[in-house]
Amino acid sequence: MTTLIQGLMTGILMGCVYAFFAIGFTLVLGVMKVVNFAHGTFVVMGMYLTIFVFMNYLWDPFLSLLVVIPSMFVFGLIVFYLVIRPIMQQPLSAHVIATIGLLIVMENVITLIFGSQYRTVTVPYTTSAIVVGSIRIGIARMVAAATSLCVIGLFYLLLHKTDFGRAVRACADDIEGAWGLGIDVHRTYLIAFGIGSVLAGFSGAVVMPFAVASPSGGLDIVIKTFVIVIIGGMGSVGGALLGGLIIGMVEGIVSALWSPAIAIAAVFVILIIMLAMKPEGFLKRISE
Amino acid sequence: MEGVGAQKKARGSMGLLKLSKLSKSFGGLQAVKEVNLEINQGEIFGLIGPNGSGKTTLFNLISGALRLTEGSIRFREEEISKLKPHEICKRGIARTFQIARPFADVSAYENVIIGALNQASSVSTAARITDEVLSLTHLLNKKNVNGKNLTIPERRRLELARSLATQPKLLMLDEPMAGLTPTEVEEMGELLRRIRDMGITILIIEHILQAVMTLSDRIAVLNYGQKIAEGTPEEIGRDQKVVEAYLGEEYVIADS
Amino acid sequence: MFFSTPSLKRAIFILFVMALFSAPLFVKSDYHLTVLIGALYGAYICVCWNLAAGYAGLFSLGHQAFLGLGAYTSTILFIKYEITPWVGMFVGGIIAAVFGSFITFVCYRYRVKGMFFAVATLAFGFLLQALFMTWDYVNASTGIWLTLQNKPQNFFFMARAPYYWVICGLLVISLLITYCLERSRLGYYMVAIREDEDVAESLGVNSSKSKVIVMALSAFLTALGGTFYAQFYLYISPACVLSMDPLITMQVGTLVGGSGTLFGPVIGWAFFSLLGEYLRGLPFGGTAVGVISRIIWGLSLLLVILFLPTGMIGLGRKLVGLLPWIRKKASIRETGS
Repeated sequence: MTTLIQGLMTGILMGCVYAFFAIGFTLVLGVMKVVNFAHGTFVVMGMYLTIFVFMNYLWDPFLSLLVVIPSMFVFGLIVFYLVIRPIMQQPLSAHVIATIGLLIVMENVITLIFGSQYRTVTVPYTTSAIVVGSIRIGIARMVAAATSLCVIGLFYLLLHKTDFGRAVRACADDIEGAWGLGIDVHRTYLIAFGIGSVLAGFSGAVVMPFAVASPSGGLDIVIKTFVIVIIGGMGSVGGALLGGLIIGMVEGIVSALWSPAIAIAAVFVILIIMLAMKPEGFLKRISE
Repeated sequence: MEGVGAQKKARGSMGLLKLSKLSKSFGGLQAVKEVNLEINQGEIFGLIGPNGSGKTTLFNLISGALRLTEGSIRFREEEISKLKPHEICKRGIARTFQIARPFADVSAYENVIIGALNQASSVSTAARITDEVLSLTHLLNKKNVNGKNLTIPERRRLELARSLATQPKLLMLDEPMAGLTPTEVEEMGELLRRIRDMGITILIIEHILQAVMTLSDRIAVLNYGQKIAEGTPEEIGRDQKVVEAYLGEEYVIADS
Repeated sequence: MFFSTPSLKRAIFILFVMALFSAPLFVKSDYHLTVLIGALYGAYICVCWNLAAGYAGLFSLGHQAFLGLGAYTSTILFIKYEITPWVGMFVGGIIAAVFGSFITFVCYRYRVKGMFFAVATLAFGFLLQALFMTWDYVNASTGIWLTLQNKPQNFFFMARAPYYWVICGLLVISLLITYCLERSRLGYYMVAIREDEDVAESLGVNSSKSKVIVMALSAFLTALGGTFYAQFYLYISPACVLSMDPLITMQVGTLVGGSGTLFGPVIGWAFFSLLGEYLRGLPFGGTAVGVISRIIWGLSLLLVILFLPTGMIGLGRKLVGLLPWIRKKASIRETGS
């Protein structure tokens, strides 16, 4: 029983983090209808930027956000111009190949600079935990989950309460209409992709206190993100949170009771069921 | 593909397609309401009515593209309302679309042969049928031209050719004359008569009233999804309800 | 089009096949033969994927599952039941075909199309990998080794050349199958479905059945490739035959070369694998070689997709179309006059 609760608790915390991984992806998908297979590698890039700052200045990952956020934004703008904009009009197969190419380049550049071995960042609270009975809840994970929820909430507010958010939702819904309202669609796309990149990098930084980084981790992250977005609904922030929590909990419980490998299988079984029953996901799109 | 003589005599004798209390609603909107219609073998049957009266929806119901909400559709005594579009085509109903949809990046020949493969037992038989149909619709000299490079009248003839190649017993045409010049309308009419003479029953939606009146053996009029009149062209022309339905509606009469 | 006259195409094909089969006579080094075999294997799986993705529009992101099913089936049957891989190969193929048909059928039944179909196949692929990584019957993530023996009847050869000829044969057969498909009733149906599925249905095309058949064929052939992999490389594990790596090969070769074309996958993969080989041989310092070559490889992938959306075959057609006397022939095709 305690293993179950332990798994559930870890799962909920991780679920929040997974949701954070996913909101950047769902933003880009919902607004620009582009599938970015390299998204996970953007997250990994955030991880490695954090490692870099830590290696040289010993800053806490949260402090290094001062570096991570602007860098990811600029990187996102560059990638948008070079890769994303040209493929937007092309079919899915072009998105897949182009972003896989991007993934390969990014992964190998990271390997070139940092090597392919696993890396971690150790801060004072990395190993501390709150212990309730025999349930152990890591502080680092809690902080990460809390941060994730805050950012997701802020992002939701951005989308629904600001002018830029309105512009984004208009573009997601109806491009012609957006032009008609005087919205600069291209600029909106550009900034949206920048924000998506920032969200990805941010989420990577946030997990460094307890996670292990490797250059090739991007693919696993983006696959999980895909599942979350399908469950929650493409382009939906609330959906990403819902999907993240579901995946996190399933993973946590199944890992605790059986094994992590079975947990992966369970996640995909859920995906298949979702596709059969409700491919559009549970919640509504970014535009609604 | 044979015909003539015997078909003319048998015209109007056998019920080919029978729609009984056919209804279709989309959520709260009722697009087709309890339509009863019987189309006989060998006739040209016209379907007219203002825009939005449900004519194309009716086609979609018959061809299997849409599921009906209520009623029945019987083709040659068989209930076809639950069949898939390709099964319905195999049974002998072919249709064209309101806006011509040729396969764009493929030649006219390839467009038609895909239709021909519906009944042909081999690719070579299909090839032969394709050539026959292309010659009938005067597209033989364009056989290697891609769908997207054809002119509007050519695309309409291609749609017709493609559907014809499936060797249908009932050919449903959705505004085949839209966008054609008066001479082209004349030619299309001639073509349709020849097709009828080959033994193929034709159900035609058209807005060019003069053409429909001269071409059809019988006509039905739809308004707001319901059949408001049915009869010979003369009867329809005199029907007060029909005139009212069209009042305020801009309809096209081809210049003589 | 110049290259579409049947007799010329046939002649090119025959020359190609002859050149291919005669290679071992000129290439004696084991290393070079291994490289060639690797390249042909890659081209083969690209052609298989192209059948499903290029011709039938089934953008499968889980095709490596069929590779794995083939490799594991023949290997398990051989190691545990002493059934020769020559037979095990076909059993694997049938199993893969069954899975492929089932997935395609279920997806179309529940209207899982386009991108969602891609995600469904992605899920299937990962699911299978995860399952094999924990299934002790197949040695889980450790994988299975095969020992090379001098037993051709068990699909083992001591020299490289016989392996080379086997993969050649597979490649040629798959190309022939693609060629025949293009000209068959099913091939025409595929074109119709790709162009406009609704119109195709109204012309009597059973799109569900057509897709299932092509997927079954593609899965079967891919599985044969899996067995070849096992017999040549002598080691299989979920990380090598069930991971995204072979899938990336399939996609890169096909999409770069031109999907939905006969030679596209072969040319695309030939180009990229040769590029990879060349880059590997360049004098970059130390351990960074592999990484830098992969970076350049990834960049070239990006460049190709950005500038050559129709693939290399598309580019080739455009270039050929620029020659003056071809242009005249093409304009006749355009306007019909």
